[in-house]
Amino acid sequence: MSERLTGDFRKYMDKNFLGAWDVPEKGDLVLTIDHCERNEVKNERGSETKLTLHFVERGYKPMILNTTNSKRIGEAHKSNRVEDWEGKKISIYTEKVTAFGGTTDALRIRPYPPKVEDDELVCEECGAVIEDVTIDGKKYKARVIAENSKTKFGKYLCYDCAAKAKQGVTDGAE
Amino acid sequence: MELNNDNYYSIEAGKHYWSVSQFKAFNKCEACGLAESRGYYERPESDALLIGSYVDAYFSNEFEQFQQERGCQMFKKNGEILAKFEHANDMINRIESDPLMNEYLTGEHQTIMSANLFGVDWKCKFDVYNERRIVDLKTVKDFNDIYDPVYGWRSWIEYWQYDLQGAIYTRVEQAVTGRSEPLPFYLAALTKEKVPDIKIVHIPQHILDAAFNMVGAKIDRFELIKKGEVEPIRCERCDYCKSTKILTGPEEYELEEAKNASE
Repeated sequence: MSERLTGDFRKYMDKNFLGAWDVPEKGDLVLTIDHCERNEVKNERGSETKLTLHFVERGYKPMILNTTNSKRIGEAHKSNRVEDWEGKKISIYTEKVTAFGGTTDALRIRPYPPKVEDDELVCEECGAVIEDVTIDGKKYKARVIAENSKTKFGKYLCYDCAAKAKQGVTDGAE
Repeated sequence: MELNNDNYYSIEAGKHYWSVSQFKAFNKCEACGLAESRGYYERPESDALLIGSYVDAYFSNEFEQFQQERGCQMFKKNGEILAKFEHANDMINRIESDPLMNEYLTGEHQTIMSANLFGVDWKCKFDVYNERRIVDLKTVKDFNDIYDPVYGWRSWIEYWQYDLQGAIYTRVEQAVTGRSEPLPFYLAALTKEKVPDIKIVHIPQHILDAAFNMVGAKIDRFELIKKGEVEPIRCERCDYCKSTKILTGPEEYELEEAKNASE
């Protein structure tokens, strides 16, 4: 006997792109961006080529990006360049919008990155988990290292990568 | 630190506690938020804020104090009240003429509470508080949507982040009283239009929850900045950043692609 289903029926239809029905009723859908593409999208106007977001997590269809959501990713990750979004996490939720004479649930991206716990901080350069470091008897917490590198270099870096980045800035200034 | 009416807005209280306005300031510009929290920078008071404070003071039984402190800003040299305050009196009359508004403004006024949320201490001052609800009195330009370059068109509630205020207020109250569910949060709002409009708005729990999660996603970094362990990011757009900017060299003029990109 096949599995008994629950939730919005559209979740189980043959849809090509992520929809409001894929987002949990409570809480956000947190996904990691793999890359962006331009894909053909069929709609009531026929067919159009749209910017789409593809995810690392398996089982999630690509998401069609509109200007609002694109700007929000740009705001969350401080870059409008799509290649800079690769590997970044986003929070997707639904919002009621008025369009075409009716109210519909639209996919929206929060303009800030999802919360990252202290033990989940990952260096955006080398991919290693950012850990506490003790230098000359002084302990630097992972969160402090990560947040300071975000201030200085715009991304979370481990101590070693931050030191390299700092060296690069210093060399560049010479 | 024990909070009371005398020290609620003090620099010391601002260093120890987070408030909704302090969080919003950090969220807008970390450098400016930090400077404000340490008392190094004070945002100039606008006419709009002054009128808001006037109306707030009237309904919170602090009107006499307001008049004593701000009297010189309220009257002309000949003793006549300034037109903007005359209009504020019309706004007050509009509220008082509506029975439902009066009902929602009934309760304890300017109740101070504090609680620990996300590992940091928060302080709140409720405009109106009773066993059934928390109400905040808001004076706004009008009830129209406002354009935000990042979010697009947003309701005035979202634009001014009143959902964030409700999220923190109701969670602080819940933590203090130990009630199982947060109290409902309402805005008693009126406009500064020539003919003031009035509205009572309930912000539903799921919207407050989303705003609460946003605080949770950002507060760790802000707290480290406040403690001086992490350097703040300067937005380079706000008045504080403009006033403290130090030029390090000439910049290269370029036509920026983003400015020309179509919507």
